[in-house]
Amino acid sequence: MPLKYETTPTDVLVIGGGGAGVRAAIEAGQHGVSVALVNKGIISRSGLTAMAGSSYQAAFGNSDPRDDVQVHFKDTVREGRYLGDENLIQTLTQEAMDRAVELETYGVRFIKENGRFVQVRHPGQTYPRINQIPGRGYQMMAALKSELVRRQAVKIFEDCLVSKILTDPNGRPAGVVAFRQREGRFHVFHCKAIIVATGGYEEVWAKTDTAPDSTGDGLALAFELGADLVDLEMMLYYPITVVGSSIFPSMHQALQYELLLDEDCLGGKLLNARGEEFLPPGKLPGRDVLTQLIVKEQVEGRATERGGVYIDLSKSPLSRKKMENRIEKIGARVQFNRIKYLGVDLAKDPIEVAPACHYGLGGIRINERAETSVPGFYAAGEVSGNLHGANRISGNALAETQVFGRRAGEGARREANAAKNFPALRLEQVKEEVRRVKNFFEKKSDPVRPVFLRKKIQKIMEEKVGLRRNDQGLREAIDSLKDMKRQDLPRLQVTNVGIFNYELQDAIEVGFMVQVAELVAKAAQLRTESRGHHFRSDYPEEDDAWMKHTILQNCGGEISCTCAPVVRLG
Amino acid sequence: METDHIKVKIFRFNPAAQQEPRFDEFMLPYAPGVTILGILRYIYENLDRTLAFRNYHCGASVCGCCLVAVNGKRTKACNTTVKPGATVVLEPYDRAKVIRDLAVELD
Repeated sequence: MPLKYETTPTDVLVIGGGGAGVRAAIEAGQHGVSVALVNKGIISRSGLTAMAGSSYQAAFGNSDPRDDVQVHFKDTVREGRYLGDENLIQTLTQEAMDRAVELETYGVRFIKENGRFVQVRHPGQTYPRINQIPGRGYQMMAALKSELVRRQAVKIFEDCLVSKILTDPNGRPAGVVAFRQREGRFHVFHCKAIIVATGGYEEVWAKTDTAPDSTGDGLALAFELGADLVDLEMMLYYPITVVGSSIFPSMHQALQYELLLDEDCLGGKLLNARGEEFLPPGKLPGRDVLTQLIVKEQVEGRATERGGVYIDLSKSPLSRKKMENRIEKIGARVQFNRIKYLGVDLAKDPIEVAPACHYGLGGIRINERAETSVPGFYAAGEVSGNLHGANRISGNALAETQVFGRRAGEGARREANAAKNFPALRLEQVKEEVRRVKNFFEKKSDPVRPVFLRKKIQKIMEEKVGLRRNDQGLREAIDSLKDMKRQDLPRLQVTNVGIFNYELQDAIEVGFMVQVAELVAKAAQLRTESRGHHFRSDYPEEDDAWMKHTILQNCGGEISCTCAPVVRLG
Repeated sequence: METDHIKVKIFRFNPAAQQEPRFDEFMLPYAPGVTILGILRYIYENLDRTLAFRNYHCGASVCGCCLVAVNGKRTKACNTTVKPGATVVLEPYDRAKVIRDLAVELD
């Protein structure tokens, strides 16, 4: 029976058009394999890579010949607090350089001198290893998009919301149901392999420095499909983000603290609300340690009312003139420009900053071929979960998108090539999903707007699953989220507009968010220790017995929680 | 007009259903540092849920997904601030096809 919805058969389907998704699509779309890439927004103007900073880590050893892949590997293992799988870290560190060179051929511009990368050292790195893209993640995405379009092998669907992964009778992914915002209609994709590259789940909290579309869609879809999810309790906080206005929604923009605070850079000071310095002397701490130092100021009453502290560049030992020169030399100008509209001159005005969610360390469990625990289902980039561990050093995220994006694309292409037939589409699944989404438009007796539920989830997560967690709070969070699923989701009602209905996107995302929030709280409850970005006030110490992953899986609608060893090499 | 408020006139158009665009007016409270994108979010959340616009993306004047015309001038909504008591006219970015209201197709 033919479907009444437009259906696109494609060998490989990529969900998500950030750095990993586009790299995967480029790789998959070779040797006659058909590929469709579906993205929630506009490629290069949505997703997480486009808003990333300038740091791409790869051990070229150009700025310090002592650096190499082994040192990069060791730094990543140690700074991840020994929770990253070493097979993945080995893959990342070995291939990051080749992928960077490849990016250059796509048109990505790195800072170079005499043909060599100008590398800088960020916290957690033994030697300078950050290769800098002055146009930041946006320029990287713009170049990747040009390359993707130039190759003409991939069908691109933008402003297209995936709400459901379809399965064949054996549970193997067979396609997706999506809603095309520009046309206001459903679209079915039928495929042999799926690559999910939907990024992180920062939006589940109220305070983030990421785009509001980072709602964990891929994680919720993967959970429903039965894939293993790993270390979801690990949400990386960026310690220094601008505290925004309270009336109007705004983002907590990250300020690259190495550039502002390092004595070799601008030498600014980090001060609490009393104007006191509170960083220990010596090297700048990594993100997890600095975040907890700020939390200490909050807990002990030395932060601002909004939980902030101040960055003050006027206290730098540098003269104004020297600072101006230094800003240009280290490429820090963008830090100043991006907050100019707030009326702040970073060089002389103190600015209120606080930690905010920045990168989902946890995610879908993969192996070094970017395969998940479900055959035919691949994951790459931030949506995957066992690479970095409990903390991530600067620059490994952009490298991750390219290394694992390419691997996912290669694997999915081979698998699609080997498969003779498409898996069976079950029409009743399509119909059921269309009915579910259409129901958002139906009148309810006690309707609730998605934006209200979004804020409710974020409040629960900030208060009970945030920077300081304990068993009682986590239990309360889980109960509240379960109640929301049962009582609130069925009341969701959106405005009756067909084309570019933002509220419909909100409603689909809220369904994903409440699921992901519950999973995060469960994982956080399971890990009875503090490690990296997971801090339990009832278990404040790191516990060697917990040098293992939390694994969550869908068992007939219930969440099964187990543990798994971290993969070690040699 | 009170200086602690902002008056906003917004271009509304659904090419699939309407012949002509219209302008809707909204009054909002003023807060220091408020941006056009903050205003759009506020309207969507509190005053008119049917408004079509591109929400925050990078929020840092880089990606350009929030391109819009403010009082006839092309700009990014995320870094354009408004003065207390101001009247602003918001229209779609004129170099792109309108999907609905302020949401346009961008490369």
